[in-house]
This record gives sequence, structure tokens and C-alpha cells, in this order.
Amino acid sequence: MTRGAFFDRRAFLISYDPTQDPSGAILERHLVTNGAVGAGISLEYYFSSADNDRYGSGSKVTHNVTGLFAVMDGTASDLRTGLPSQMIEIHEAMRLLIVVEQSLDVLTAIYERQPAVRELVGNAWVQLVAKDPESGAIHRFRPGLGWVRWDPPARPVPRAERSQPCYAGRRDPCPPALIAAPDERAAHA
Amino acid sequence: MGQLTVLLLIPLLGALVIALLPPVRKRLIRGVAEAAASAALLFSWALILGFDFREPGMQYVESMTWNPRLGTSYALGVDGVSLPLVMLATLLALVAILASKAVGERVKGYYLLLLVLESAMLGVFTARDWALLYVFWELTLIPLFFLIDRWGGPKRQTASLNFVLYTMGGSVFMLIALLVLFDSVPGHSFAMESMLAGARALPTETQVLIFLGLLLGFGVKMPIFPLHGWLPLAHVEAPSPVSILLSGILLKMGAYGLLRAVELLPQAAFALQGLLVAIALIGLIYGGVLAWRQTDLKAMIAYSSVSHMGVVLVGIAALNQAGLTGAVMQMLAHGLVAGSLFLLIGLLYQRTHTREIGHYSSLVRVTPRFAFFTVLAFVGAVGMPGTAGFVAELHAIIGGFERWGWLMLVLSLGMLIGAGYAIRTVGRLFTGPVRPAMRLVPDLRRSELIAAAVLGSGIVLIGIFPAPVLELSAATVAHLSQGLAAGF
Amino acid sequence: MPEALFTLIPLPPLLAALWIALGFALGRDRGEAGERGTARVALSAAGLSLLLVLAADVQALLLGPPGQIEAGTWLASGGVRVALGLRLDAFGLVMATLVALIGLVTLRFSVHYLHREPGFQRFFLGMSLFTSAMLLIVTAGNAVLTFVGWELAGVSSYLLIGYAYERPRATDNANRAFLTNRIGDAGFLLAIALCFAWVGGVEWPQITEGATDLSALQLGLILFGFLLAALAKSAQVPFSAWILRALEGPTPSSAAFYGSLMVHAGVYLLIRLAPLLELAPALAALVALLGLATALYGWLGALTAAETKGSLMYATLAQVGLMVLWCGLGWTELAAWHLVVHALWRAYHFLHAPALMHWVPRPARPVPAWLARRRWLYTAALNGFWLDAVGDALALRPARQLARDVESFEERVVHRLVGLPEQGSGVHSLARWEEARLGRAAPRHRYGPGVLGALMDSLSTALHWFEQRMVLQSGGGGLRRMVRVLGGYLQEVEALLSQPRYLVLLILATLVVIL
Repeated sequence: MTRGAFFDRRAFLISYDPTQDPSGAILERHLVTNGAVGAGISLEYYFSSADNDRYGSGSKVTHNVTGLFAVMDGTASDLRTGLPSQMIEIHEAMRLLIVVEQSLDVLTAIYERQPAVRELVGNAWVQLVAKDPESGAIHRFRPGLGWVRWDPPARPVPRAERSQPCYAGRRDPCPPALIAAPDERAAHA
Repeated sequence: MGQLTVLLLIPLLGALVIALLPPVRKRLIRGVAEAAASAALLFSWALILGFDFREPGMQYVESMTWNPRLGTSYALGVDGVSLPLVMLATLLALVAILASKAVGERVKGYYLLLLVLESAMLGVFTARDWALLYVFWELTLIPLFFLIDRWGGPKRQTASLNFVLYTMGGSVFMLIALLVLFDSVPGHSFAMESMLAGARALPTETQVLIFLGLLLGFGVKMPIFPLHGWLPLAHVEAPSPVSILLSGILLKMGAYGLLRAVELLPQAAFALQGLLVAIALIGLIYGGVLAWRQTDLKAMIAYSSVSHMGVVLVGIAALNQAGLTGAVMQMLAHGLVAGSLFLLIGLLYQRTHTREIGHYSSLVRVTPRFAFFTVLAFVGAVGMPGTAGFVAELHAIIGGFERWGWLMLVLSLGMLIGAGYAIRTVGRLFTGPVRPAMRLVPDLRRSELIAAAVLGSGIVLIGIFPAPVLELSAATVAHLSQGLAAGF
Repeated sequence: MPEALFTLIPLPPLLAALWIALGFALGRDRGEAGERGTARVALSAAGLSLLLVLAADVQALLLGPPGQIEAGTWLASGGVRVALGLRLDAFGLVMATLVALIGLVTLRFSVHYLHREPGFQRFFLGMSLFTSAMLLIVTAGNAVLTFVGWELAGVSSYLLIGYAYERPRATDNANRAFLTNRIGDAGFLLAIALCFAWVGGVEWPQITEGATDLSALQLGLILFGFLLAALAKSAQVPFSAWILRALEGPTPSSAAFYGSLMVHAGVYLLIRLAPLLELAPALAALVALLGLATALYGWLGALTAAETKGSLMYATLAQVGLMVLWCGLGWTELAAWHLVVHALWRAYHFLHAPALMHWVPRPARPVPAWLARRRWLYTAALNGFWLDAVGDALALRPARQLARDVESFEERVVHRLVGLPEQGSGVHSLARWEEARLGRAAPRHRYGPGVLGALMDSLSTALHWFEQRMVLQSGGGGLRRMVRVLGGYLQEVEALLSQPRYLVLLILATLVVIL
């Protein structure tokens, strides 16, 4: 599914084969554990970079470990939450997007069964997208609306021979791209 | 024509050229003013080449009888005390002209008056005849009056009138003192040398009376403690370049005159030593404390001037070599420090139109160059080692110790207060969260940067290599202090 | 190696600081790309100093310490002469090695620690300045040069405490630290001036030897000045509070300044002055007492402080207090050893502080039971024995009071003399109303303000009154008219006098008198 895609360090890939898991039991475990962990990490980065002064903990250079469980700034301040500014430098503030290859029915069933998933997806803390294993149609879960079909925009995704030219010389996040697979490259040559 | 006459004539010539130019040619007028001031600067600094460092007396002497009936003469000369002040005056005059770019109206009159003022100030420092000194002294009032009255702030009329009336009031006493002296000196001459010889022969009571007259005259300008009333208002209301000259040079005229008066009447100076040091220490604390309380930046610098001139007076009142050296050094240091502070605050005011310290915040991020030079100037004002003020304060405190011992604790206290307001101001100006109103303040432009850099490097250079400046005045100061000891 | 070369020891970091400062002044924002250059300059400068110190060390080991060396005169006038020289005796060399080493290590540590910080350049400026200042303090040949280093260290400490200048607390604490240090500086300067006056010079050997000839009072006064400086810099009781506030800066600077180097500057000074202390047993006892008090203060504070930097600082204070105690007892050698070992250890400690949670796998230890039982002691230790509040009450509040008094004097007396408008003064408008009633309805001319203006004013009023009385008493029409005309003239003259051009004329008139 992600073959040939360049996500510039944004992706967190988990192997999963929908044909082996018709009931969705494996997926359910993945969503409950990895989904929650991913959401936690993503949200921590999200809030720390969206407003580092309030939700993050500022620069680490003036930090002062307090009571062996937290940090504060300098000699006296509120205890700081979130991540220091040094840790969010390469991160773009965005919500976690979970893309799953599984039918809508299985996913809906899981959503209904699992309060943890409901909490995260239903309140839009993370976004859930399903790709149907058979038709390849893509649906996005919108809280309040349910599954909404998503069609790829007409604008083509940029292609590149290698990933290196996509990120070379830049510090900000790069847009995704499609990288030519080794066999294609060989065919070109 | 002697070299010093040429020096006095250069700014006057510039003023003359400006007078002939049509008022609309603003850039040309500015150019002429800059050229004249630069020429005067170069000429005065070139004087040092022919200056004999070991010779304590007057050099570049020229003399011409003026009014034989009265015994006045047109006599000029510089010694180790006045030459540094002359050099400082030409430097600050050029800086003031460079900083005058914001003056947009009645440009012609402005630069003309500024150059006339420079010439008159140089006259005060080079005059070797008391009558001539008095003439130049009064001559500085006219351009200053108009500069404050025409180009000043909202309360300029009160300020200028106040300034002139105060100085005039002092000058009247000075004039009477000089006339009494003239009358009692056998030679009936106003020349400094003959007066010097005559004055020392006078009984102490007469000397004291004459000295008090001179003290009133010079003390107003300096200013000493109860006579400083004109100063804060004049400094606040004057346009910033004029403030530079006012605190950089004009105040030094008072101190310089007092130094000459001490030389003239040593017995009186020794008799009034206690009074002098009392005034000095009160002024030192008083000015410092008030500076601490000000929220108007210019008023703060003005009061800090009172405090710094207190150090000069301590040095003079010590009547020994270390003290007098301290006084001369402090005059130079304060000239540079106050000059650069008024320059920077003036430029800041042009940009933000507020002098209220509370309106500023976090300028270090917006205007790093401003921040750098202002911090440098404040560090100089505190008298940190490595700046000119330290050398001066060290000498003054040593001189004071030899004379009064413990009393100099007050001077240390004054330094502490000085550190208090300097640090607080730096903190308020440059730190804290960025305010929207202060976000778009432009940094120093090139000509402003040059002016600030010259003054700033002066502060640091004298601080790090004080030896040349000390040598420059050493012979004269040594001679002066020996003369004082002998006179006593 | 020529000995004069050793006088350059404190110079390279200073030049590095100047180079960085020049970048600021020229407005060149070196940014992230400039980090490498700045770090390289600062590191090689510190390295060069270390090499010079090591060369001096080697020479000292082979040939004995160079002792007092001079490279010229810094300033001289009359009886005052300050040499540009260093004192490289065994103790000075050890201290210089220590300073150069810790300075270099801390700088190296900071290159990565402060990577991509907006204040990178500023930090390296402060640190280089500080390294130079500390080197100068420990190697200076005379008290004045030591003082120069002393002040530079104070300034760089101010710069780095105020590192996070957008936080008001940081700048407040920077001010507080600087001002407390200035108290000590005033003492130092006092002592220097006294040395000039009584000993005749400020070279360290001259002071320690010359002091034997002084009277007990003179010696006491000189020592008092130096002690004030040493106690303030080493944050001994009662000056301890500032150093706890000083931990606002980046951790590496806290390590170098307050953990290991600057806090020991006072002890260094005490060790230098040991021969003097021996001569003044009362002061030595005082020093020992204060040292002991600080050690207790630091010990109790460290037990209660919750945050790492604070408790490390209390621990440092306890150790420094012990060193001061050794100095007071005359065990100078022990103090010196203690100083060196503690400096090394504490630098390591402080540099580790940010990563403390990686090293200590257990939860924080509770306050010891015996301390927790003594509520009052516990509260006092937790509040740093209110030294801050005491300082406020003893120094800040009286200063504010004085300022208020002086200002009201300025407003009530001086401003009135000058004639500045007063707020809320009813007298002025009353007088105006009265005038209006008297029939001087014509717009009032502006009189000269202040005393002179008032004099003129009262003179004119007197004349006015005189005119009125004359007219009323005589009752003659002609006289009345005449006097009225005269009065008009007088008013006219008065009005003219308060106009600029006639004032200038007046000035010229006084000029004419003398010509």
C-alpha cells in the first residue's frame, strides 16, 4: 500500500494483511494499543509545537529538574508540561492520520466495541481512514457524519527518481512524493 | 594669527557660509556644518602633535591687548587640562551635528547657531584672560537660548528662559567677583597670570568672598546641588543634539571654571574645602537617587549628570593630585557617557516618540545595535572597570581618601545607587516580552552608528588605555596641585 | 618561554568576547550558520589560555613559579600607579589552570547544549567574557586588576542570569544579583583606595607585607573592604540569597559561575589575604563565624530544596562556607585544596543536573524526619531563612523611602524655586483670580519663572501698589494720568524683559560692562 511513497519521516508503518484477518481481531488489538500510543505521541508533539509556551516546556537550557519528577524554568516557575522546544524542531503540527486497509464494516464494528478507539476517533483527536481491500475505495471517518468517501484530487503527486532530491537542502517538512521503484529505474536505464 | 584663533574661527566660518546660503538648500547647509565641525575636530586633534606633554604651563599661547584701559587682552592658550576638553568639545559638536538629521525645519538657523555655540565653547576652554572667558561664557547663552526655545519640546519656553535666567544670575555674581578681584589686584589686569599672582596676596577673607562669587557663577553651570534647578527641564526640553552638547560640554565649562578658580584662590579653596565636599557628596547622592526615581529617560540622564558632576566636585575639592586627576578624567568620561546616552535616547525618541521608560520593552531583539551601545554607555556611567568612568572614580576616591578618609563611603554609596538606576533602565528598555508598538523600531543607521561607535569606543579606549590621557594632563595637574600646596 | 608572554593569559577569551560583540554591534546576525565559527573562536581562545597556563605550569615545575611579573604600566598619575602585571605563584597557577580547564570544558559542553538556541552568540559572549574575567581575578598581580576581573565577572554573570530576558523573573533576578554584588564591589573599591592611601600601592605582595606596619584600625578597615567583597561574591551569609536567584541562566553557565568558579572567587581573595587576616584575629573570627553560618545555611537549605539546581547550590554554599571557615581559622592550605577539589567536582555535578533523572532511578528522598518534626526550622530553611526579605527591608525599602523624600524636596522646594508648574496648587490660580479682580484684565504677560521671576513679580506688584496708592491719595487727575502712563511703561518694560530678544540684549549689556 505504501510502496514507492515518500512521507519524509512522518510515517509509522505496521504490517497488516486484511486477508488474514477477516474478523478484525488482529486489527482491533493494533488499534487499541498502537493507535493509542501513536495518538499519544502525536498529540504530545502536536500541542507542544502548536503553542510551545503554554503546552510545551520552552527551551531546555534553563530547565531545572524539580523533585525528580518534573522541570521548571530557572529558579521558580510553574512546572512545565509537554516537550521542550528543542524536541519539536523538525515536527509539523498535525493530527495523526491512521490509514487502515480493511472493510468499513469491520472497522465500524471495532469502533463500536472499543471505547478507547471511540474516544480518540469519535472526538477527532486522531483521524481514521479506511481503504477497502477489494474496491480500493477510500473513506474517511468524520465524527457526526460517519464514513465519508474521499476521492484523490486531480493534482498529481510529484514523482522523483530518488528520495534524496526531495529533502536535500531543506529543514522544513517536505511534501510527500512518489519514488520510482528499483525495477522501474532499471527499466528506464 | 595663532592656531587657537584659527580653531575658534573654523566653526564661525562655517556659520558664516551657512548664513550666506539660501535656507532651502537643506542638504548643503548640513554638509557645510558637518564639514566645519569635522575640520574643527581634525584641527583640534592635530594640536596634540605639537603639544609638549611635560610642559605644565600654557601652550599655543597668543596674546593681543584688547582694552588697555581695562587691562583686558585677547589671550588664548591651552594646557593639559583644557586641551582634552577642547578635543572633547570638537568631538561632541560633530556628533551633535551628525545626530541632527531629524531637524527638518529652520535648518539654516539651527546649524548656524550650533556652530556659533561650538566656537563659543572652545573660546571658554582656551581663554587665558578672565574677561575673555566671561565674554565667551555669556556668548554660549545666546545660541543655546534660541536652540532650546525654537527647537525644543513642549515646555521649551519655560526651559530656555529658566536656563538663561539661572546662568545669568550666576554670571552676575561671577562678574562682581571678577571686578572685585580686578580692583584689588595691583596690576589691574584681567589676564589669568597676573590675576594669579595678585590674588594669592589677598587676605583670606577677601579670597573667600571672591571665591564664593565664582562658585555661584560656575556652580550654576556645573551644576552643584542647590543650583541645579534649571538642568532637568533644560535637558528634557532641549532637542537631543543640544542635550548632547549641554551635558557633554556645557556642564564641563562650569567644572573647568571652578578648577581655574581653585587655582586662582587656593587659600579660599582650602578654607571652603568642607563646604565643597559637602555640596559634592549631597549632589552625588541627591542626583543619583532622583535619577533612580525618574521615569522620563532624559530626566533620568539629566539627574545622573548632577550625580556625576558631584564626583568631579569631589575630585576638585580634594585639592590634591589624585583628586584633580579624577576630576579631569571624570569630566572626559562623563562627556563621553552623557553624550552617547543623550545621542542614543534622542535617536530612540525620534523613532518611538516616547521617553517614558515604561513604554519600552525588549528592544534587544528589535534593535540589537541600539541595545549594544546603550548598554555600553550605561556600563560606562556606572564606572565599570574597563571604561573611562572607572579610572576617574578611582582617582577621585583615592584623592578623597587622602583628604577625608571615611567620608568617601558616601561616594561608594553613590556608585551603588548609580548601578541601581543604570541596571534598572537597561532592564526595562531591553528585556521583557516584545510589545507590538516596539516591534517596528528601526535600528541605528550608518551615520548614527558611526557617531555612537566613536563615543562608545572612546569610553572603552580611555578605560583600557588610560595612560595617554593621564599623561596629557599629568604635568599640568601636578603643577596645579603643587601650586595649591604652596599657596596654602 | 619569556615571562612577559604569560601576562597574555587572560587575553584570548576577552578578544573572543570582543569579536562576538563586534558581530552584534555591526548587526551581523550570524544565526545558526555562525554557531560553528563562534564556537571555534571561543574554544580556541579558551584553549590558548589553557596552553599558556600549562606552559607556565611546566616552567614553574622546572624552575619554580615565576612570581610577580610585569608587562608595563596600566595607569599612572602622581602617587597612583597601577602595573599591568600578574602574580603567578604556586596558588595562582593552580587556580589559573583550574579556571582555564573548567572554562574550556564548559564551553565545549555548551556547543551542543545550546545548538540552535536564539541566544547562542550571547551565551558565548558571556562565557568568554567570564573566562577572561576569572583568569584575570586569579592571576592579577594587584588589587586593581583583580577588581577589573571582579567587575567583568559581575557583568557577565548579569548577562547570563538575564539570558531568558523575556521572562520578568529572570531579569529581576539578574538585577538583584548584580546589585548585591555591587555592595561587595563598593567594599573592594574602598579597600583599594585605602591601600593607595595607607600602604602606598596595590600590588598583592605590597599589601600583605605593608599591612604589618599599619595600625589595627587601618588594617581593620582595609580588611573590612576586602571581606565585604569576598563575602558578597562567595554568597556568604548574609548575602547568600542572590546566588539562589542567579540560577536562571542556562545550566552550563550556572555550572561555571555559581557551581565552580565565581562562587570561589571570594575564597580565593581570602586566601590571598591570609597574612592580613592573621593580624586581625577579631575579623578572622567573624569570617569563621559567617563561614560556619553559611555552611549550616547551605546544609539545611539543601535538605529542603526540591529543585535540583537549588539544592546543588545550597550544597555548594555549604562547602564554600566550610572553606571560608577554614580561612577564618587560618587553615589556608586546607581551604585551597578544598576549593580546587570542590570546583572540579561541582562543575561535573552541575553539568549533569539536566540529565539527573536518567541517573537517579529512585524517587526524590523525603526531608529527614528530624527536620520535618521541627516545623519552624523546616519552614525557615524552605524559605532560605528569609534573607531576601531581610535584604529588602534593610536596603531596598530605605532606598525607596529616601528617593521619595528627595523627590518631594525637589518638587516642593527646587521646582518652586525654578517655577515649574505644581500639581494641585490652588495658590496660583487664586492669585490670578485676585489680579483679575483688581482690574488687570489684560492678558497676563509671562514672567520669568522661578526665584528671579518671583523677585521681578513682587517688585512689579510693589510698584503697582505704590502707583495705586499715590493715585488714590493725591486724587489729582493729572498725576493719576501721569502715574498711569508710568505704570504702563513699567509694565511694558517688564513684558519686554520676558521676551527673548530683550533678554539677549540684557546679556549683551552685561558684556558691554566688562568691555
